Amino acid sequence: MQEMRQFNFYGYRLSSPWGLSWLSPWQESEIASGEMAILEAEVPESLPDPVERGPFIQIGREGEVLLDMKHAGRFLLRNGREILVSPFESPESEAFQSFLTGTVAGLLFHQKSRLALHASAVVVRGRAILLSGWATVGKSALAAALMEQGAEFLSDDLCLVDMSREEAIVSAGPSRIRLWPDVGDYLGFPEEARYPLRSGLRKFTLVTQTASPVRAGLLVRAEDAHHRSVQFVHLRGMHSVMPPHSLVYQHRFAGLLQRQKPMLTALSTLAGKVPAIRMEFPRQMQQLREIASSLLQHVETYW
Amino acid sequence: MKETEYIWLASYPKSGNTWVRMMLNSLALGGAVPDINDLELKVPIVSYTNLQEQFGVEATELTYSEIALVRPELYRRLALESGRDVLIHKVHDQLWGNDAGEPVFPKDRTRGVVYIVRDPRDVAVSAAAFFGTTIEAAVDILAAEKYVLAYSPGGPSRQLPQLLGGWSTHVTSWLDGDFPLLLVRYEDLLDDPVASLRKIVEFLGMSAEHVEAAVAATHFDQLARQEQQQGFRENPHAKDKFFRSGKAGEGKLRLTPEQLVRIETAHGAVMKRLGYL
Repeated sequence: MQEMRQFNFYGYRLSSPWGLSWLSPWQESEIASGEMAILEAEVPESLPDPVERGPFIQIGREGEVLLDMKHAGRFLLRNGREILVSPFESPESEAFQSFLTGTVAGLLFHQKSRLALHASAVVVRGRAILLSGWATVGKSALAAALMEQGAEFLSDDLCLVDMSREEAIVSAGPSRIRLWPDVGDYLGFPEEARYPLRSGLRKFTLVTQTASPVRAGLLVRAEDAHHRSVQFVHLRGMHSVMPPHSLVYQHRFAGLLQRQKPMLTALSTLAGKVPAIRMEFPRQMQQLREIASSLLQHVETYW
Repeated sequence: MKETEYIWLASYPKSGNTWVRMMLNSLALGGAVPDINDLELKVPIVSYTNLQEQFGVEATELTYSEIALVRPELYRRLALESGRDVLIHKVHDQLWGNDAGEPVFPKDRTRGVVYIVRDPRDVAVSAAAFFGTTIEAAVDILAAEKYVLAYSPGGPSRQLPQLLGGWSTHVTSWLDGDFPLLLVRYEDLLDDPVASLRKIVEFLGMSAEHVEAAVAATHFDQLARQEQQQGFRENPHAKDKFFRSGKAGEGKLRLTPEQLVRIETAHGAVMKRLGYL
């Protein structure tokens, strides 16, 4: 029998037969949000009569999720607890771990009716800035630029937010940030610190510090601007969480898993607890530092 | 229920695609001036966001071939979601097939193609700014059979990578493909925009009312003025103007004799076919 190892997976205690360098080992002093387990198994190629049959993801009638990704493996997710896996690549590879802690994690959290935001997060003076937005808007790039100016890393691309307490608490993500060479070059990350995410792709990962959960201080809805300046607009009430497509991780799949109602309740609570802004900024790499520093200045209004 | 079908508004970049889209947008507004950054008929090129939203995976962690494999299904999904009878969709790819041998534009959802073509000598001059390069390099790009638009090794652009290939291959892929096709020459659009727009509107099965107004509302100066005042969201290089000159015949004036020879050697056969030589 394989020895199981325990890791911190966005605050959950995850048992895994494999070493997962992206996750920190579970500390017995921590209080787990719950338990999850990875089990190596023969995962079927398809689900019977699924409600969704996409090229990578199928969703079954009972809310089970089947994922098939050539560069990672075939995964079956059940009840937000069990992750059955037939790995196609080494589970210790960057590609596998990125898929596990991104796409797979998001779907598990939806199965559990948890609020998963499509956002990267950094911490400034004890509070999290959540940088949300569409794919390719530059969430990770902005997070990395903020970290250069003193912010601490919290999570990349996916933020799990606990709405059950008085304050909205953001879980610490895996200790990796995914960046592209243009950002890496601009911010001066040495080649030896960059781990290629997968062959044929120039995106890479950087090891970050291990973080702890932090209360959310500001929600930033990032959008790319067609003008050259950075603009901030304060968002009020439900406007701060609408539309949810660019805010909730795998938004459409939350719907397919029948999680619209808890998701809207959680978003409404989020709108009541965390101030929000829309931030428009130009896609100009040479302005990235300036953009980050204007956000840091703007944050002062809220802290 | 009848399934949504696409009209592909296809062209090599800088060949008049945006202008035609602006005209169609003006028509949708009853002939009013469209806001170039907030178009009524949103016909964006498919993006990483579209892919990620539909298929639930981190789209920027997919390779070029993997993206091409799922593009036909992506278009089918977007069609299904649109709830419209017909979608007019801008594309810059050549008509090409993925590794499964399927055209990236699904035949089963295609009603037809409006293919806009422009003299490659003028395209070279205009596309230099679009590609963020020199005219000399743009002449090379026009002949580069493996050229992929939005294939940025530095970081992803918003759009998914699109196979342009060489200008001649681009043109013939669409002209000799098996989709119903309307060929529109940019030079004819400039020469008689009302007549050209009428043909397009007829092909699209739209009302020809407001054609004159739409042409007037999307005059080059109008579009350039809006860009000057507020920028243009779709311009890949904000430092250069997107609505640059719009004229025909610039290539012959601005290209060197060597560059002209290179273009005519590489693309002569197709240029003759289109009346450019």
